[in-house]
Amino acid sequence: MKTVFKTIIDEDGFTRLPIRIYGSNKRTLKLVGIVDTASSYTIIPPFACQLLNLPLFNPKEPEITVLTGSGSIQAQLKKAQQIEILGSKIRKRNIPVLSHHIPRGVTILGHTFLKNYKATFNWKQNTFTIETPS
Amino acid sequence: MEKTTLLIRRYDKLLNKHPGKWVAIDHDKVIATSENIDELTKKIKHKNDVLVAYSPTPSEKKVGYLLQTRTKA
Repeated sequence: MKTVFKTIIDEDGFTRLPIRIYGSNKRTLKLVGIVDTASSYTIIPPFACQLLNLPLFNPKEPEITVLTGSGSIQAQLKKAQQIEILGSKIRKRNIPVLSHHIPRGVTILGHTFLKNYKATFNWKQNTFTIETPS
Repeated sequence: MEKTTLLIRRYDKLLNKHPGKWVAIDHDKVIATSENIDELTKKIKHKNDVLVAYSPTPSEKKVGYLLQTRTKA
C-alpha cells in the first residue's frame, strides 16, 4: 500500500526527522536525522552504533572509503535492523549505515535510506514529502 | 501539523533549555545531560529507546553546514 509522509523544511533549510534505530538485542535509540541527498550513506554517530551494538554490514569488508568535503576517510559500515521515521509508517529494514563522527552528533539520512522512495523537496511551500511504492 | 513535525518541535523545546550540552530525553523528559557524549552514554547505558541529541548554542546555530559524503570511485 502506498504511504505518503509529509513534514516541514526548517527555517535554516534543513529537513530534520526524528528517527528510531533498531540494534541487536532489541535495543532502540532515537536520534534526529538530517535528510541529505548528497550523501551516499546514512551516517550514524559511533556512540549510537556502540549503544545499539550494530554488527558489521559485511564482515569481509568492515571498512569502506568515502569522500567527504575535507578529503577521503575510512569508516566502518554497520547494519541497522530497522530505521523508522517517528510518527510515520516509513521504515526500512537491514539498512547499511556508516559509523562516522560528525561534529554535534549530526546524523545523516542519505541515499541508503531514501532509495526506492519518491522524495520531494518543495522549497516554495517548505515541505518535504516521501512516498513509498504502492 | 504532522505528528513528526510536532515531535521535532517538542524535542527542540526541551533541547533549547540545555544549550551546549548533549541531552537524553525519555517520554518527554530530560533524563540526563552532559558536556561530552561519552559521559552521557555512560548515564544512559541501561536505558532503552531514549532520544539523544546535541543542543547547539545560539552562536553554533548560526554556523552553516557543508554535508557531502560520497563513495570513492
